[in-house]
Amino acid sequence: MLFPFIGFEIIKILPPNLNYQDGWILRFLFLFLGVLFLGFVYRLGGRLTALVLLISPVFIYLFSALNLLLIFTQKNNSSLFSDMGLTNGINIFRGQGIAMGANPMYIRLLLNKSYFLLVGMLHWLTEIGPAKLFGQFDGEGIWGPSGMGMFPKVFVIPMFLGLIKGLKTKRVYISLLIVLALTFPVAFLYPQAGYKFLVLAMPFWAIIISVGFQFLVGYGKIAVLFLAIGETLITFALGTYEAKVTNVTRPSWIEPIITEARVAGSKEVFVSDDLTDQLSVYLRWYEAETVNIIDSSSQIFRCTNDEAGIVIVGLRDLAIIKRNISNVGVAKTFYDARGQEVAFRMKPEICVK
Amino acid sequence: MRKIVWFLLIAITMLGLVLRVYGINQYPVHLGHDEVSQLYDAISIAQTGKDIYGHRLPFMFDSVNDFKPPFYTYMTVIWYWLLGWQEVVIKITGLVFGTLLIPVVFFFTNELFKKTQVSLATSFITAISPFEIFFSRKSFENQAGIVFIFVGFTLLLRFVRDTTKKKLANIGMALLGIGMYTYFSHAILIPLLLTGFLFLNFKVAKKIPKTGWVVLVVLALPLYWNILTNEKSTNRGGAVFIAQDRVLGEKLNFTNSFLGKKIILFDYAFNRYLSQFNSNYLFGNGLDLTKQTYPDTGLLYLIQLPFILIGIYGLFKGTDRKNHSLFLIFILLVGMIPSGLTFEEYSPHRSLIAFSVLNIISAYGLNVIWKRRIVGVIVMLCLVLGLLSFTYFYTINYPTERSFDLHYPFKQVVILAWEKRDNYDQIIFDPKFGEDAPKIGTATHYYFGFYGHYLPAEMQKNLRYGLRDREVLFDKFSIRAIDWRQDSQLKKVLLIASPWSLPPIEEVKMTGKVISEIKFFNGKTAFFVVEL
Repeated sequence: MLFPFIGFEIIKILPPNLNYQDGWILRFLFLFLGVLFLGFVYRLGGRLTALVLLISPVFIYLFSALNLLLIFTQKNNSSLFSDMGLTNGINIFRGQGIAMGANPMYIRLLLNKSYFLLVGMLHWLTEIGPAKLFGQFDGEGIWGPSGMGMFPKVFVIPMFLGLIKGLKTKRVYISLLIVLALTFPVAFLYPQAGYKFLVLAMPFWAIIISVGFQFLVGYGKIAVLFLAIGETLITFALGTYEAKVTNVTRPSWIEPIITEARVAGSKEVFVSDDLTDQLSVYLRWYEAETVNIIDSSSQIFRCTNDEAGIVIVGLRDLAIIKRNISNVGVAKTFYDARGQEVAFRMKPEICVK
Repeated sequence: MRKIVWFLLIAITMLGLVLRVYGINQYPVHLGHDEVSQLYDAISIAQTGKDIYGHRLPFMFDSVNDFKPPFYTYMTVIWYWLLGWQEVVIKITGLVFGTLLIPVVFFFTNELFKKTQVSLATSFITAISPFEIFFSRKSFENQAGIVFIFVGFTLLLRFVRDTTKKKLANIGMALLGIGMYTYFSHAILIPLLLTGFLFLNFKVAKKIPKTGWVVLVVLALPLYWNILTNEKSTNRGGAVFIAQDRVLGEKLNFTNSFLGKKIILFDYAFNRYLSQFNSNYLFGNGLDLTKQTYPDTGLLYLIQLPFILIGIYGLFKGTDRKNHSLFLIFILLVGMIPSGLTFEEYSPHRSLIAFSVLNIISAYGLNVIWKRRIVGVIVMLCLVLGLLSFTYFYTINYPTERSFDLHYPFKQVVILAWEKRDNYDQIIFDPKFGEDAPKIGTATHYYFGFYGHYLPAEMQKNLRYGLRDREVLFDKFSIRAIDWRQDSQLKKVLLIASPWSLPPIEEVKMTGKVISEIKFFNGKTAFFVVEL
């Protein structure tokens, strides 16, 4: 019954810029989902289903999770064991103990390397806790609406029912085991969230919710569905609000700026690279790859109307222009989702080299 | 009950008492501003019948414009009459109720499940629980309220079992009524819990004698009357409500729609509510004993986590006493609401009852697999290790890391100021202080009053507000911001200020004489004492 929802949820949280690794994981994910789906629909024999269910996570785990972990830790140069805050904290608190005359053996018993594992484990459990699932999955709005959890809030009820009443069914306990296995690497990503791992587990959470759904009685099912759809619709209805919250992470206001640059005609077009992160990705997406980017090495100077190109600058370059060139006019101002000035098309008297 | 059970319960309670009382004058290392203000107001009430601002037997204490509930201060009056003018007086109510909670949860759990082992395990976990020990030693009123709630519902549960015992129902209702006065959130929490209880025990609820209802209403009416009509209550509620959260405030400004704002508010509050169940918070760093995210100490022991999960599962799967199990879960869910609706991301002191319930659930879970001896041994070892770890953080790291939050070293400042009082025309103290960043200490005049043994009657007469920035005056003392350019011209004045309020010390030495330095717990300079 909830499979349309699963699909919706997956699409909703797909990251905007899928890269090679993401696609690779998703291929595994959908393959695995497909096997599960067939298993449930055609009620494959217990042993066969169990075998598929048990073997698949091993592959997923080995090929995607561990691989992702390596990519994460290498890319971000940050993980549980390299977290300097934690290492320093342990050293500081040991030092405080020594300074106050505590027995070094006692200190070592309480504050040692096992503390890393404890922190990692708590981090993992927090990341798969109710706040992430039904509260706020990603506050920055990259992986989904900023105010929503992985699932609509009201799904907390069928999830709970699924875990309590359905735990002894294979679907639930195997799904739960898979969730735990898929998300376990998050423990080593402390203090990062590890959204990619959490997303992997999403379909299995959905299965548990689906099972819990069966235990809802009377109008309970309709009420839960109604509220879930209601929350989703409200989230869409608050689109302007969402755009303001995700002003930096999802700069929807960039489109009119790039459109302005794209329709410039034969003139050369220059756009500041400080408008937003990864400007070149947006230029590619909006098919404006001919646009030149102004970076810190660019030289901006006054020139004649004929020589001048279309120049759109951000606050940084506007300040530089105002400092170095007197009496320069702004032809058009662009605003971000929060109504703040964010970009300026200069009058045709500026050249960039 | 068998003798051995009584013996064990008394032994566990004694253990809890020792853990709460041992070294109470040393740890925490300093009285916080809430403690000292309640203590001095209690002395003021005991001696004059008025708080230090001259309000006769106030329903709510102005204190430092944070409008404190009355229960704890009035309880402290009794201890003051018994023990006199000393620091420990403010801690006794917390210690008494924190210790009483140990047998109280035993009887409450026993009434819920009728399993002595679970009840004893609950008492034991309560006795050694980090948050129970921490808040019992910190003069905190919420625990008193929890004792009233648990005793009240224990009696009502007893009444459910035997509806002929009407007296028990009456007393239970009365205790719930009194419990509402202990802490503001209990004025909402207790009616909610009672509603849940009555809903789950609907048939018996109708049999609760009218006397019980009358007693409850008579007790509750003045409270609600005051809450609804007293502007201070509204101010207090508004000051701690989630709408004060900066991030939420920013988000609310992103939409002009009235409905949109309500939805965003609900959404934010719901997220905050759910985050109160984060494992990090409950088992890792909820007590916030250090300035780091980690290492720190959780509200509960990590070893309780699996047993809480088993316990919740067991409560729902168990066929007997289903209503009581649901009631326990209901207390847990409702108990977390106050913390989820306030402006701080985490405020454990507002949700103590929920943590107490988690202790009960973990004991219930423990009972499921207790029969395997090896489990028992491992659990005991982990609990002992957890207790040792909490003790280490509480006695070593907490004073070093967090004594600043307790206004350390205001006591030393005040004692020195009173010692020097007769040598100067005026003593000026600027309570702006800090190690890494400055904050302005509150309740400073309370510190001066209490540690100077200054008679509250005199304080009521002499306390006044001055014209200078945040100036409070009494006797020879002026508590205010320092403006060095003006103040350096003063003569025969002692000035106590932190480096945040003074120019570089070399410049200070050109005009005045630095006669002393008062240090933070970690040895860094907190205040200079400058003679002008």
